[in-house]
Amino acid sequence: MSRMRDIRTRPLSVSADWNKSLEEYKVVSVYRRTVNLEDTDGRRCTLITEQEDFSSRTALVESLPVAEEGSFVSVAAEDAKIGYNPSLQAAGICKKWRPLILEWQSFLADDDLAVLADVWDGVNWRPLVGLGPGLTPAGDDFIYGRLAAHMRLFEDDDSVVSDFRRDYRRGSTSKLAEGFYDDLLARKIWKRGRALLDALAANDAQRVLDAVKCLIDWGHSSGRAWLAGFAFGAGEVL
Amino acid sequence: MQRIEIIRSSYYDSVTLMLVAKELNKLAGVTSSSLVMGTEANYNILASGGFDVDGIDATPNDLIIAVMGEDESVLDGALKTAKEYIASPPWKKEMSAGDYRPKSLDGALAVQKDSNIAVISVAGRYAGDLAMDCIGKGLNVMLFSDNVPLEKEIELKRTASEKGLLVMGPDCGTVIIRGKALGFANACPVGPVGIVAAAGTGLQEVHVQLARRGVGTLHGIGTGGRDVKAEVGGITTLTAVKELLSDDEIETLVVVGKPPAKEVEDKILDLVKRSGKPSVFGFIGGQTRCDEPPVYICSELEETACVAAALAKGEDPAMARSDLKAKEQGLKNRAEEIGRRKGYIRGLFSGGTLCYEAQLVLANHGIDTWSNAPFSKEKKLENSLKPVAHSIIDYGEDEFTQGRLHPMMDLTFRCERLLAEASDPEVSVVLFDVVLGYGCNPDPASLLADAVTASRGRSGDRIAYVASICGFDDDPQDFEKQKKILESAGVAVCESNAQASRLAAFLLAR
Repeated sequence: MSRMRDIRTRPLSVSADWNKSLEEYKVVSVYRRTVNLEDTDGRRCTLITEQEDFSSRTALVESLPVAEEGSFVSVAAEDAKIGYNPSLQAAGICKKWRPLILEWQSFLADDDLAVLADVWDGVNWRPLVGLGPGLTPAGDDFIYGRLAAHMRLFEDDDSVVSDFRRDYRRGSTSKLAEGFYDDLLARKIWKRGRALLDALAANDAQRVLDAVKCLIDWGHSSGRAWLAGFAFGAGEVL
Repeated sequence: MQRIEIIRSSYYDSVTLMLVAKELNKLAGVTSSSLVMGTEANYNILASGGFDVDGIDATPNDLIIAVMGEDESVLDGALKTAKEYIASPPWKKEMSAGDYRPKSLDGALAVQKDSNIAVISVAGRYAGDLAMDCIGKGLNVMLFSDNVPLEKEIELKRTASEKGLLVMGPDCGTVIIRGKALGFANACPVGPVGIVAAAGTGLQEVHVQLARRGVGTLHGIGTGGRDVKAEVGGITTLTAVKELLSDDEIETLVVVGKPPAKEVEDKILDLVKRSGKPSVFGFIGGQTRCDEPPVYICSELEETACVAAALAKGEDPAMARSDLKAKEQGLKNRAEEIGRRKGYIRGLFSGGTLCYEAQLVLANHGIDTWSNAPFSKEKKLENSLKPVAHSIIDYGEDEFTQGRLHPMMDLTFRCERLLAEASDPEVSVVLFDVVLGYGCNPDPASLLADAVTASRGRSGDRIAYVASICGFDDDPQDFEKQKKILESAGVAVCESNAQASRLAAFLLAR
């Protein structure tokens, strides 16, 4: 396919791990609020239009380029400021939040997440990989949340994270979802999840509630699945 | 024709059921609909609404969907819509679009650790245990729920008392803390009065009557209607009285409700007399006692407020009482203008204490009344849906609120009853209360005015409609607007429940 270098965008800001020296990206998928790209190493990079959607390798643009899947765009980020650092630092979670956090396990009782509830036995994550509704399957969202809780609490991999790192089989889920696993295992987290962790660390009740709302509002089920996984993960350790 | 369907073992909150019924009644061809839990009381209400309930075997844990309509296809459509709405209420998205809220008590306390009061409004059979959990976590409790067993109430109050906590309720509809309203309450000013009341319209009526006299209320503590009975021993009332007596911001104490058990009344009076703080007791229908200044004894709610206001303003309570008494002549004149008539009075009340007071005022004018909540056991109606002679009905009683919204929120049933009374050729006066304030129906006057107008279509000018509005200028419903709406429908609106009851009495020709 011919490269359409005429489509050029200059981001307002980028995530700290955005490779500013790269310019050319292939368009993989186009959505209402985001465009997923692929860099020359085959890694997912994303153009976003809302601050809350920052994650790893993300660039915030004023408007999405009009481009078709399979076409190429140029992203000139050399002057873009850093809008988000996706690094996940271990910091602990205050035990006082435990009762609130455990409530989020009940999202698995929602009708659209029942498929996860049917297989989740409290320990074995394997049946959840690639399972359920969503562009990133809800089962993966659940695992992201659970791993994020453990990684927040411990600087080094604990048994839950090690178990996943050792046994996850590549190709078990969508490429997009797999990319998010890679990022998470490299200790990178999306902004919505980070907002919750920061709010919990700040002991700011309203910020916590706002962050939870922001997660619930994400996607059809992704946010709730992530929260449920986070709740199970936190509940295992707190 | 009708269709009745039962959804087994399903609980739905009253607001949802009311909203679904409202939507069904908008459907073309539907003449009537009702969604209620299968309690005995609700069976009777369905029957009184024209539904044939023979052979229906719903239990209190089952939901009954009852629809009347023009033909089978209308009924099919209505039932389908009802089930869709119940499964996925269209208004749910709008209602849940706001902030995330914790779902558990512990979660809520994690977010708001300095909380010191919990308001409980769940079905009565669950409310007691939940209240006990709250007490265990150091919270005072406002128990809005009714249908809580007496034994549970006693257990809750004793446990709370040991921990220095208050249980306000059960069936506590109104609490005011530092001028902030919880539950049903009015937008009245803050001032130096403290009120302890069984909680509900007794508290509200005194609250608004004080406000109309320029006096504000700091705290209004609801105790629940059974608190002053011998079995409960006045645990909450006595604690609340003690607290308000020792509060320097409270200059005048008011205690109001139905007459307590003697031993409880004696304890309350003893506390008050020892403190020396000006106090007014409004034990509606109590034994006649004399004033022992600074303690004053009143027998009606407006009188209680009138005396308390005088004390708070440093005026003469005797003069205040005298001015109030003088209004009686005005009511007699008004009765002549409206036209005195023979027949029966029917009272349709949403407030329990207002219903009670109405009976007493009428009794004082020689009019004996039947009621579902009578002050005298011998005058208990056999069937609350079949009033006889002079009858004053409290539609807020438990029999009408199991699986249904309180009549201060949902006026549907009361309006239906108003229309039914118009069909009784012996009824000549209909008396009712209109309660405004937070939590109440946003426009009760319009609904009642429409019912009155429709009733006149059946009764002509046979019936005189008399009402009082328990409300204040700053209430969300707009007091003056509500008054105008009722007056435009030909309702004689009086300044208080006592005055309205008195006017009703004067309207009867003897």
